[in-house]
Amino acid sequence: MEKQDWSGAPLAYEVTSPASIFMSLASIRSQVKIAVYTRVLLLGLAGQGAAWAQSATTTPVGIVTVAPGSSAVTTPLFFYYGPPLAQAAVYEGRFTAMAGAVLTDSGASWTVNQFNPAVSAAARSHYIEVTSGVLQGTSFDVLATAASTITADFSFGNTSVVGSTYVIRPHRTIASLFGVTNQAGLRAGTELTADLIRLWDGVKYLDFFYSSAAGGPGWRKVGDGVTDHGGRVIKPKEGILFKFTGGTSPTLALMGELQGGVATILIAPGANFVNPVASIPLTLGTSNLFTNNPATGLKAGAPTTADVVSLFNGAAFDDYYVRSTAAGVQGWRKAGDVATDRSAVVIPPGTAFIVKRTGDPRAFSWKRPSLYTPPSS
Amino acid sequence: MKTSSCLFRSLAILSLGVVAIVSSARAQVTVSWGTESEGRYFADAAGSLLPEGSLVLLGSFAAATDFAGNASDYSYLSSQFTTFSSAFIGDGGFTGVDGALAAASVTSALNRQLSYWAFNAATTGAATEWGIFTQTTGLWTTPNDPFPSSMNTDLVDANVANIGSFAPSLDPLVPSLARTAILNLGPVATVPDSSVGLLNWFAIGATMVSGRMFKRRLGYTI
Repeated sequence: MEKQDWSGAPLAYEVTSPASIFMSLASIRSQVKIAVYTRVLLLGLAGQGAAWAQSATTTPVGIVTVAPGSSAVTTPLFFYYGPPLAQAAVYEGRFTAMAGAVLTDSGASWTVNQFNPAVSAAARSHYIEVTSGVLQGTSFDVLATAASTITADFSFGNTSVVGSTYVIRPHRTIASLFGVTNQAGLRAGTELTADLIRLWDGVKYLDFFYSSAAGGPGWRKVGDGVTDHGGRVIKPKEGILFKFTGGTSPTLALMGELQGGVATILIAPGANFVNPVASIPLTLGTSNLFTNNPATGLKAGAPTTADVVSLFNGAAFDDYYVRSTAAGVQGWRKAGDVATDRSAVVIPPGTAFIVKRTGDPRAFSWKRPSLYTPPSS
Repeated sequence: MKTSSCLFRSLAILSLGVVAIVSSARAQVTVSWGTESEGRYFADAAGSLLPEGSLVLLGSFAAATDFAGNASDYSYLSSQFTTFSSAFIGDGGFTGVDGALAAASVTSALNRQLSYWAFNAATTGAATEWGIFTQTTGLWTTPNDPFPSSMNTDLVDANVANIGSFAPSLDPLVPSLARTAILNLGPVATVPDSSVGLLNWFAIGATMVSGRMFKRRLGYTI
């Protein structure tokens, strides 16, 4: 739970975006405000004892509609999609103990394997999202479920989550996101003619499509036209690249919860295809991607020595980095222009982007800032 | 505190229209290029940094280009060269800085090794010297993938001077700048090989250019 008193804070954002987005934000603000007030109220109840057992959250639920194109597709259309809403939580609680990766919630009464597949150890069906404490915004898969314990696929080291609140959400899959029989309306066909869903596995892209083959329509992977890949999990902070190949591009509707609190996103060495899970615009300057410490954020330098953020502009990528010379940190720059400050560049809501972590060999946890946080006055 | 979506969740249904960022173009590769790292600069055969306005081309040469036998033959070289973009010394925020530029260009050429072709004038016709530099370990090769992508190249990573040469640090008084080097543009009429170019440079221009570079470095990196 949020422990900050928001009751008197104006929920305003500095947004430079088209009017259509801005108008939508007004709606979100009012809803977010309701949720924040409720959270403050719940904290008050918690302080009085057993009210937690009856408590509830009012995290706003929303529908985001994405219409990548309205006219006929005559050449490939590319869209870097970052689902801006999380799957609705199916459980909320607070950790009361932990031993290694086994986390206890003494108030829980789960059934065995409730949040994980009983058969395949490799599959994942649910994940935990920590909503307070030192690991706020971090998510990890559920490996096993017992009456009041959950085994997490996460190495906690010396970090304790005892006392931290959390939610459990089901994973999205290709089939759950786009429909078992492609209700989203992606163009079906062969791997050469169908719309492609491109997912990054940390090393390379994997391409999926909906096959219209008479012998067995379904979700397939390029290079594997037989296996059903509809159950392929799409992690909550994973970006999705669409390649629309023809016909009319579909309208994608996504329902879920606003993930307004801090989101912690692992940036690993190499290329990262990142979904910031943001339903409002972020800017490079306020993204917290750069912390002036390469252990916790992007490394500054030149395009060939710094970590680079690649944003798709509708036609091609623009590369951004934090320029640093012997004279010191110069600020956000666009590759190809060392002079202009780019800190106000917007990461549009609902979009994914690429982080090339090549300037530093270490991974870091990006703390995407809370979307609720009002600007400091 | 189990949550039920029916009983406990406030169904505040929001409708958010997201402006789609899409492309109707072919797969494009964005290439940043130039001297953005300030680890190397362009200089003429005498070691003087190229003045603002000097032309630099980004492109790709045919694999079988005979540089050694045609170093001063512009017609031949240009026939082997596919230009992707052009820029000028001083571009990309390097106003007032000789020998440096930054640029970002988009190409749809896949799996092509990039080269920089620099001239000591604003046009190819007015140039009396040029240099051609590339990188052969893959850093300057565009992806072979028909999806949008980007790549960052910089003169500091060039490892082959097809025409011209690389020079070591110009600042013997500043050891910390040991990576700084200048690329000499080979004179069109008498193109030196690398060793000759280096000797020429050290013999003729070392003192003058070192002093100039030292002064410039003071302005940018210290």
